[in-house]
Amino acid sequence: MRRDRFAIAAAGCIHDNSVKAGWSSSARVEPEFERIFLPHLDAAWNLARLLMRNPQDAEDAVQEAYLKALRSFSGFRGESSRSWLLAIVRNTCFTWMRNNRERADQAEFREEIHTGAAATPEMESLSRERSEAVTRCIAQLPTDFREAIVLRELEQMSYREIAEITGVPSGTVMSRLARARSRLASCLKISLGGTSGPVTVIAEQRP
Amino acid sequence: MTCEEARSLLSARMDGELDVPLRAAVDAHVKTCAACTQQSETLQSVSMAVRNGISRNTAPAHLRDNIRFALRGADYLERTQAPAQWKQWGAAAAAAVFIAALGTAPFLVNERNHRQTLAQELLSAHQRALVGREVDVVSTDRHTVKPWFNGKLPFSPPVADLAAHGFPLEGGRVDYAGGHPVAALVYRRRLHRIDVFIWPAGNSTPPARFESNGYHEISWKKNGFTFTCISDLNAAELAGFARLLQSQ
Repeated sequence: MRRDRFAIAAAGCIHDNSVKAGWSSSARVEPEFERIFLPHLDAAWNLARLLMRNPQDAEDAVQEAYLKALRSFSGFRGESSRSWLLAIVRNTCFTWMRNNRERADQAEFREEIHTGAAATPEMESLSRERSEAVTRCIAQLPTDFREAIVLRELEQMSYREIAEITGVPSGTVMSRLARARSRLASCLKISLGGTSGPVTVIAEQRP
Repeated sequence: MTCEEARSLLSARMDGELDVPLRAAVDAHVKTCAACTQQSETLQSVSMAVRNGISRNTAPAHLRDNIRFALRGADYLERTQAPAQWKQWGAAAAAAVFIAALGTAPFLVNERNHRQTLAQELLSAHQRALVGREVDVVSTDRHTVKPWFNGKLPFSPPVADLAAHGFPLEGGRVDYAGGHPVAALVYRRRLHRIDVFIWPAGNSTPPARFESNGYHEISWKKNGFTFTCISDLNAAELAGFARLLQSQ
């Protein structure tokens, strides 16, 4: 983490001294931008695909977010590049969902993009079923909750980082996560409790 | 600490987000409360289930390519076109001061008007084709499209195959703009159509960069030809396409 921060701080220096000046003197900004932000593409993609219901929309949102980030690059001051990018990604997703509310509501939930590439042939059907149940339950969460869960469980971000990205106080992040988890707990019981065998995630953990 | 108070903090406790005194208070309560212990375990399982259930997927390879491509296009727009135009106008302004003394300023004004008129005309041609005939020769093969222009135009336009880059060729047609016939090549990007107009450059300046109602138009001169590409594709991707075509 410390090394990462240092690297980013260094990148910020390079950016401030040469890249920003380079923009007007027509040096190329994009290699530097790509070096800093393309490594976060997987994080951006996972956030977008879990926020949006349709993979094509998620792709469009991520691409649009990168272009927005490039345009705002002169405002990047070498803070955490991942948080900086993810804030733009989620804002782009939210704007899209606001503008296309009708379409977003009608969109069919596409299981495969949410479950994703992990469904390898050797994967047991049991764990696939479990994974599908989890993704289905996450998809049913309100977007604010879903976003908090993804940033916390997938990106392992602190409440402060999540608060910065989502633009709410840390206390709100705390309560969103608590409520999201309690919803997930009951959803997982409902989804999995009815099937036969030791599939029930919650029950399985009980002594 | 009451059960209710503790319950609301269990999730943050699991995430290690409570400060030390608060954490100690919650810990003390949980130790003595079976219900809260149970709740705490449930939260752990939910967290585990979520972490195992939503795998961290790798972004699709084509998304990475598209983003790179769009970034290059956007950078290209910023870097070359806008400053070039700015410099051009700066130079034009400087020249105008000088030339105005010689009484030839109207020439520069005419030149500017001509570039804008031509840009408009090409956009109209593109839009006409969208509602009417898109292509006269339908082919994805440049070896079919290129010879098709023989005898229909007094020049032979270069035809590039960009299918590998996600821009399949759809065909071509002869169009008319700026008082002369022009070759129009039709490419596609997803659902967007791109017209590339090509004609001998002569001494003329390429049409002005143009943007209208979601249409973008980028022009350049190369190898004695003027190229203008027009589409409702986003500006960055179209610029990436322009950059690609220039490199052929």
